[in-house]
Amino acid sequence: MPRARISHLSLALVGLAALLGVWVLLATRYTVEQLPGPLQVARAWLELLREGGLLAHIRISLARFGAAYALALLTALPLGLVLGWSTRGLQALNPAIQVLRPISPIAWFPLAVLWFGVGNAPAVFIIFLSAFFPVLLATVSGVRDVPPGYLRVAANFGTRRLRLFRAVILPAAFPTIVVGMRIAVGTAWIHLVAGEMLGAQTGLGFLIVDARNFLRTDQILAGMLTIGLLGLAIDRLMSAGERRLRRIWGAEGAA
Amino acid sequence: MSTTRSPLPVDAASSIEPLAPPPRIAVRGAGVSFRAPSGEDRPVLSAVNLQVGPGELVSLLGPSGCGKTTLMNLMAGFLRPTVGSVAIDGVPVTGPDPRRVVIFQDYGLFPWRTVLGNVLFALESRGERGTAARAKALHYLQLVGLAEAADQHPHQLSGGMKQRVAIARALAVRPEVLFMDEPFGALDTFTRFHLQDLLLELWERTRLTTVLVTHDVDEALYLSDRVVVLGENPGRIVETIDVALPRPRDRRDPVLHALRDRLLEHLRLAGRWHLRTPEYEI
Repeated sequence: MPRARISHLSLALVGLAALLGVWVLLATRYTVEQLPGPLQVARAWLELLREGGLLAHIRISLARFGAAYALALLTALPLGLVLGWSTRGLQALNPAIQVLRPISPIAWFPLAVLWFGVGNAPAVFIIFLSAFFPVLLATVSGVRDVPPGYLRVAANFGTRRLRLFRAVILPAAFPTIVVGMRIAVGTAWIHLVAGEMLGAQTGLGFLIVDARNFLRTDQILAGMLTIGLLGLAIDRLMSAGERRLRRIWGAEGAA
Repeated sequence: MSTTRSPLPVDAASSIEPLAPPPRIAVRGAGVSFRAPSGEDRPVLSAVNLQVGPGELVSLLGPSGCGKTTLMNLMAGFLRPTVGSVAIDGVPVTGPDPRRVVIFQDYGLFPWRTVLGNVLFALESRGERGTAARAKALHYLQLVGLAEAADQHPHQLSGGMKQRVAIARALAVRPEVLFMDEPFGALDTFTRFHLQDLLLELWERTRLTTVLVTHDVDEALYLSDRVVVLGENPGRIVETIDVALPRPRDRRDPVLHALRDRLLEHLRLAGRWHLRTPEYEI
């Protein structure tokens, strides 16, 4: 077992080292403005940390992300529960959902600016949009795919509507909903930068736009890496939570 | 007698005292057909007449596709007959009811609830809550020998234990009729024997009217007062065999073996078409 883990870790290190090697090699062939090397990026990162207010940018980005994500959950979860429960409701709204869903949040940029101006609000709106649909669709399918066996047991014991919803449908759909929530975290984080390019004066997206304006490619890359690492951390956190849930729910989801 | 207060005109027949208690479950001329994709009605069950008396333990035996589960679903209220009628204690069955509980082959336990929570679910559905409900749930878990597993989750249990939880949950609501749909079909032989004995023990104590759906000839003979044999295409009753042996029975009893031969012969005759239809699940 430990042997497998060691080889797993060393393979990851080999991969990273190879990537760094390619990066260094490529960096020698281009100017610093085109592609800075890893050391220059690391220096830029430290500089941002000390003088560029990187932590403040991270904090505000996380706050926007959290607010938009929470807003998405607050709207998509109830709507998804209702649409999963009511076939008529789904039939009525599904066409609209299916048309809106494939539109990239980026395509909403002009409207976002027209409606919300510049700054915080359009960023939150874009992030919200990118999280909304994955949560909505997962919730709808979670509720609709509740194993009929559970419903039969509840019907047999005369479980009333509200209790059926709270004690059977909600917990039965929960694992599916959690998967949707995790996907939504990923897509929302991806669109964070895009949203913050809409005139915001703070945040990691702004940091990158600002660095571009000064042709500080090293800071652009430092900002990108920060976003990547934070995204990885958030995803790890979510999947740890998800694993915990699965353990409680039973290994195969049905017993 | 309630008949004297009846607003309906009292005729001569209804004033006669009944000689025997009325059958608890009465299926009269019941048929079920499903619309096939081709548009024609396909009969799954045809012209079934069956009466199950109070406290009787009856098995529905037949090959898969003979409609035995469909017949049970009719009696349990999960399915309405296309023709004919189903009544329990004279009242037409119109839907599922906690007074008749079904135990499924796949246990039907909620994986997110503990063993105790699963039994409590049935009680909570009737508005029973608090320490009294907990004590009651624990009592029924004790009855099936699972009080120690009360705080475990279903995925931590073996198949036999899961089915015992389902039995405890069913008994906790004190039903009048117990339906079991191939309850031990997924268990290994020894666990199955053990649970068959547990079921008999509980049945002796409660004298619940019990209808057991099975494709296991030996199980039907070992447990039942009466074995109803169903044939396929369309599903119908081909034979009813009384098992007039006292319990506990010996699985090696030569009388059982003679009955077994008879049953197998009926099953062979019933199955001679070999045109299989899928077993319908509701």
